[in-house]
Amino acid sequence: MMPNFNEYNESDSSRFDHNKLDQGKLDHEAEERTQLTSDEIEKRDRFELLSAYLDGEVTADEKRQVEVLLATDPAMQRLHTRLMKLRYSFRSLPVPPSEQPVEQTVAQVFAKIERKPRRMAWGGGLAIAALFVGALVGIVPRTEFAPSMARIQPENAVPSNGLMIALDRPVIAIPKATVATPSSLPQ
Amino acid sequence: MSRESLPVSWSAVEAIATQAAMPVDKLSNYDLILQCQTGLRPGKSVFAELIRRYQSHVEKVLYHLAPDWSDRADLSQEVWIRVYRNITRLQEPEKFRGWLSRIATNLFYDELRKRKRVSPPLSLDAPLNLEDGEMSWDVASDDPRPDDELATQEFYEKLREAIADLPEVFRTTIVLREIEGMAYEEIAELTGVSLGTVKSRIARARQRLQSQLQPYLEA
Repeated sequence: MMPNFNEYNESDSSRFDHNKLDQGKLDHEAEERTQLTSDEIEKRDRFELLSAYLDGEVTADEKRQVEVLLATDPAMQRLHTRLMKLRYSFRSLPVPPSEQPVEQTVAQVFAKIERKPRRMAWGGGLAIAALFVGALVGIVPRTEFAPSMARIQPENAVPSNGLMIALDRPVIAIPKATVATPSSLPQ
Repeated sequence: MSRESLPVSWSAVEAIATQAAMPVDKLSNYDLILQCQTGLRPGKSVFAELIRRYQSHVEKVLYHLAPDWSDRADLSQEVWIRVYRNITRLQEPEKFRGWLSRIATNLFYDELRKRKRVSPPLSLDAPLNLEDGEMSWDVASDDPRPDDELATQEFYEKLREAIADLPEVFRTTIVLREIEGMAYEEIAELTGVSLGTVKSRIARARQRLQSQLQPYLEA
């Protein structure tokens, strides 16, 4: 017997509890709920076949199979018509009007594009400056020259304040308190 | 000098010269994309024109994928930043529209993953049989058959609701197919599921939609 898709859609709804479509169902419950008769499995497979046919995702054999069904089964024809209408409506569904004018989008996109590289350049500049200062500190011999600069003009040190802190950090980090613990362990 | 030796090279030069001189809003879509691909990064005027022409497409894709997200405007800006950075890598400019959809879709999935990490109700990583089991083949509409004079507007409203009401994996899969026109294989690759799952999800989504909207679709 040829399955009737209209009948399937319109009359069998009592078979399943639709409230159970909610999230959080266990696997076995889902399986139980979808215990379909062989007739229903056939209907499902045919629906899937028709759906794939609409998308051009069928083999040559499957294509022939669908075309025979479409030529002989009025229910299949009606279903096909509904699916074609659904597709058309889906594709032509109006999208709500834009939240913002396109010129505003253009401006915001460029603002972001231009902001990002500038931030990178600033970061890069800072890194280069740090390297330079680091190199200077390494090269300059530890004479009275370096400390005297800091004593005479402390305000000159202001721009590199952050860098001084950064350079200080490893010095603090090296002697860790935990290093001392082995000696305190019982021998 | 023979005139015959000139035309090929001359026409090429002429074409470039006219393109460069032409106002951006007069360029064909294809030429506009080519112009955006010249140089290391697209020029400001050509890229702005590209946004003007394709922003509605980006909005459409994002709207269907994420109808309930309030920050789609921010997402679309992010799409354009990705386009800006990568447009020189686009091999076939005539496929720009599909490429753009793909960028928007990838961004959507990136965002989705981030948001799910925060609130994990329906994970893409959850077992497929559980997720796929959430939709029955048999969802009939309780709505009465509408009167013939019911406006198209009302039908669209019902359709919109029905689409938004689909479990997320089903909605995104059918959107990738119907709105973005992707092949099953592409969808499978993008969503990380098998071809069979894609086929089944699309069929189930259609089954539910056509069943809920049956009175309208038969009217």
